[in-house]
Amino acid sequence: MKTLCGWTGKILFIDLSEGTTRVEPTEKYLPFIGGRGINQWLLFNLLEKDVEALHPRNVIILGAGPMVGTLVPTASRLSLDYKNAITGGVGSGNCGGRFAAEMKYAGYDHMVIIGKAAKPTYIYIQDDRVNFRDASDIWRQGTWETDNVIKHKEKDMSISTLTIGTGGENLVKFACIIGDGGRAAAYGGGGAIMGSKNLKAIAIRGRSSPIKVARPVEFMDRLRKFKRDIFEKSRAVRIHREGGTLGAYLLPGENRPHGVKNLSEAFWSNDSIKNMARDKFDEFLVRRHSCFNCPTYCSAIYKVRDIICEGIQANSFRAFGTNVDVKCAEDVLYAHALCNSYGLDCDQTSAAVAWAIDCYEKGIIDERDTDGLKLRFGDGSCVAELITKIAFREGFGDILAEGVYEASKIVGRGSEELAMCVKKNSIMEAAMRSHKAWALGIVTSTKGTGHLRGAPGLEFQKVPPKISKKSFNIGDISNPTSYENKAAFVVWQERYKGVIDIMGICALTSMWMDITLFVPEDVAGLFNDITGKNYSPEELLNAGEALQNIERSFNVLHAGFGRSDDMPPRKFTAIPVNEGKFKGEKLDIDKWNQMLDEYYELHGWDRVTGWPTKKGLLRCGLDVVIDKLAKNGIILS
Amino acid sequence: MRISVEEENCKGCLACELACSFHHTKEFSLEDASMRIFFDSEGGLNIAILPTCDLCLDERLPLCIEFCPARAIKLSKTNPYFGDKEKAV
Repeated sequence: MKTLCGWTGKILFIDLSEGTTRVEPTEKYLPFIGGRGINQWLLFNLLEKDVEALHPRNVIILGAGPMVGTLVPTASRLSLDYKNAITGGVGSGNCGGRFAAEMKYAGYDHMVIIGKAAKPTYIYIQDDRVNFRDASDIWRQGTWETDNVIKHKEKDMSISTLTIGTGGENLVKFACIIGDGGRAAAYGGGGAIMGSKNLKAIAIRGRSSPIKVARPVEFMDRLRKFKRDIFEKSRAVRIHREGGTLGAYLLPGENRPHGVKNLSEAFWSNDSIKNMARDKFDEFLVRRHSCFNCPTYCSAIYKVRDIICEGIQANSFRAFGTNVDVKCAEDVLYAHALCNSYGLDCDQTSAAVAWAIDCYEKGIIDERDTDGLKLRFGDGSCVAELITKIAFREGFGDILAEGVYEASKIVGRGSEELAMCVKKNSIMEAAMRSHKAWALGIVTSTKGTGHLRGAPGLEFQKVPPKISKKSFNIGDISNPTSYENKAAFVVWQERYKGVIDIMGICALTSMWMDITLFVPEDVAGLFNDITGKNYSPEELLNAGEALQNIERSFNVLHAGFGRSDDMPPRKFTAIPVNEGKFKGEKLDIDKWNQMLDEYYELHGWDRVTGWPTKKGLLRCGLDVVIDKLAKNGIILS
Repeated sequence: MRISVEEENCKGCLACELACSFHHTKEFSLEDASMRIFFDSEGGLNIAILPTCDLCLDERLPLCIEFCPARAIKLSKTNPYFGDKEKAV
């Protein structure tokens, strides 16, 4: 195999049914560069339409981009892609930690796992040795414990792991995969897919494949300059170092929109916030913690009621604080710790719990539905109890474990009106009514929902028109409630987030949140120094556009998604913000449709169907996609 | 002179190991580093400096110090960390 710089040059295929492995060169996939780019290309090509998410033929694809394993700050992100257990379309997670780097050092840019093991199994990869180990004795253990047991069994504390907990074992549709005992790769039910394969964990230790850099002197110089002039001066880095996203999110008097009580409301009072300020979590802090090679070290290790967990970021605060109206830091942390241990996606778990409480408070369900449990907003113990019921699929938890969309179909009785879903996936986000680009990015997300596709974090920071023109070549985006220029902002963000995931760096300390960080010129410069290639920033953004087209096409093929699946739930168009700075704000359906037209236009997609077009796909070099869709009876315009 | 790590300030990012491996090999890995950071089952850290550390004599500053974002690494006259115990050299 040809020696590459940045890439290791190998993709490892593991068949759990057969207990076999094979290796393919990465080189032929390099037009998609790496990380989520190559992952999604493999997924599109490997998976036929009739394969269900929990069928053994579904694949779990892991990708470590070309920057991973080098000294580029935050270059530790692992992309995990598969068919989505809830939406039937794209399933896609991403986590930090150490796994992606160990994968590179073991010699693999990507790993593709297919099939189903005959009994509970974990895979232990030591460079070119792939060991299939019996996991019967660790089945039923929590994710933190599983990580530790494997390290002790294999007698190596430097092993990195991806594990599932009770949630994944019980095929909870929104079970996630946990990296290194505490870092969640959520969205799409990756944990359930591992569970369906009888795969408890993937462990890895790489020693044989150091990462080569094509222009080491230039690379180190660029890195030093970036570190000194940009990274260390970034306000976002400073804030996240102090307390992760909690440090930027929970400030008394902040007056910002939240997602409250199953997203019915969007304002949380200062009295509520003050009980949940960052320092309220400090008594549970073991120490601050970092992902591999991350100079922001925004994470932390906590111990709460005897559970050790990693966290806690703004998502979990929203999930088990505002969205269920719980105002006790310990309860929020405990709910987060339970989800980590069971391997449940905090966003989707919160959505299920909040929906159930909402239904109960509105009299749609009662104690006969909930196994005698009284549900009410603000009650941390009922939240914890529901989480455990979901993980074990016990009683009412068995219904919630299907996800809000399916659960509302099972319960009926008008509960569907309270289900905050798009593409069958729950929304668990703040600012859906007030921040229009944010809302558009979440609703059009290829993985169902979630703010880590096209939703721009910068919309919360009032970027001045001069800067938005210079940085994005887009007009004024400084007013969050305006619809103007927001489609262009989302399209730019989708492409850029694609580049971030392709490279394997972290969105949090990127231009997603701080306009000075990892601008496309920085990414292109570092990437070219590492690989010896000569990509322009525009060419990288084009790779991001191609990725967006592949994912959109996968959703058309596998889930039949189109324009009607890019519409927000009725609650956001009918019930305005109740209080605070954005009081009265809601989504206007006509303006939304105009924004959507503009969004499709910019991508070169069909306005009526919302599908990619032949012209748009050909522009991205994706003629294979056109052919595969045609073979399945989908003829694009 | 020796490298010493203030364990209470270390965040466990391993940038020092990467920088160290680059000093030795002009490539990035964890295997070729002269320092090792281990995590224990309670979320704690253990830090070791190996005898292969040459203090990056050809560099302006030892690369581990330069690239430690938490400023947890110092040049110390006597006491390097070795495991979690201090030992005089």
